[in-house]
Amino acid sequence: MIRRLARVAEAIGGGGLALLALLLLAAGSAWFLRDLRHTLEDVEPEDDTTPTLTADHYSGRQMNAAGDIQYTLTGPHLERRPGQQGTLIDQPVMHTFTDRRPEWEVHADTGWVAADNSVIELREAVRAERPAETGAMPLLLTTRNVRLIPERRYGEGAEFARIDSPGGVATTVGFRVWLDENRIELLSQVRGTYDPPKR
Amino acid sequence: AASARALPEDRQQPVNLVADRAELNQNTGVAVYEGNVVVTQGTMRLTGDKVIVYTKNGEFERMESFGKPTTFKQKPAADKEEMFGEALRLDYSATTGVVVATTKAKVTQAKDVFTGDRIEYDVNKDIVRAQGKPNERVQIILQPRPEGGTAPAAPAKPQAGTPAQPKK
Repeated sequence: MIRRLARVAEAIGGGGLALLALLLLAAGSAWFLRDLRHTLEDVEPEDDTTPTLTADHYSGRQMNAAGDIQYTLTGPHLERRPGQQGTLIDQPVMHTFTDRRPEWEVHADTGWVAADNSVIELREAVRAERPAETGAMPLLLTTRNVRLIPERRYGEGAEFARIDSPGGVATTVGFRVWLDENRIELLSQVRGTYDPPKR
Repeated sequence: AASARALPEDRQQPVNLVADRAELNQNTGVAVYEGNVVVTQGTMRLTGDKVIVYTKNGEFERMESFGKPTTFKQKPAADKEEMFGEALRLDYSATTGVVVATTKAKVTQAKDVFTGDRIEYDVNKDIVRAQGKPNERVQIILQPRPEGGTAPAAPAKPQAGTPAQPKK
């Protein structure tokens, strides 16, 4: 490669040598700049988190296939992120419904809803209450970080949880709850206290 | 140390449970506790592998305990010896205060021992009713009382089944 360049230089004389050097330098720089830009572009984050939708003091409702209300979700602020990143919610308040009647009222510090609404995560402190007015036994569940699957009316948590009911208190580490069956599994370190029957 | 609470107050105490895991069903009022289950109520203490608690309107009504064996102990009265029971199954009613031990049942109070297929212990009256099977008599071992010692739970009249006869 170098011998060929030398013959070209001889042909166009000394002055040409400088010109040839310049051409080489330019070609090299262009290659270098293209490579640099390519590298920089790689650094550019693919996953843009700029919200595609924000809402303040919002209220949303989810219907089920039969057209009945499944749950409502309200809160001071939400942000939907692009693609599959889902929706982030501040201080969500969720109301679940059974046969169109309100049942559970759930509060959390923050929340996240999957892009396809299949999963809801209630994050940090969580308080779920079923008041006596619902006609079912009143219950109060306090815990942290709960994962809900609305379609199956199912929820689970892996942390300490306390369940207060009129007859007593139960605590556990880890639980799973099936709302339709009114059934809750306490997964470990279970403590229970029952009030004695009143005479 | 705090004197052991006499029995009548036991049943006014809250029932406390400890277990490895549990399943609570609000529709049926049944709670199943499993794994190293310990239930206490005043001086009463019950242990089992699996304990099923039945509640009514959230109130503790009765429980069934299963184990190999499941054990039970309680102090009938401040001046009475503790009563120990064991069996493969124990049924305890919070409302009547009666404990029924079935299958390999054994009740011990002081040095007196009752064994049989089914032993019922009435915590209120401090009475033991033991029942055998045709080929398995009730066994009762009554130790002589030291002078002035307190009498143990009096064995009730033998049931219609095999009569309760002291061991020869």
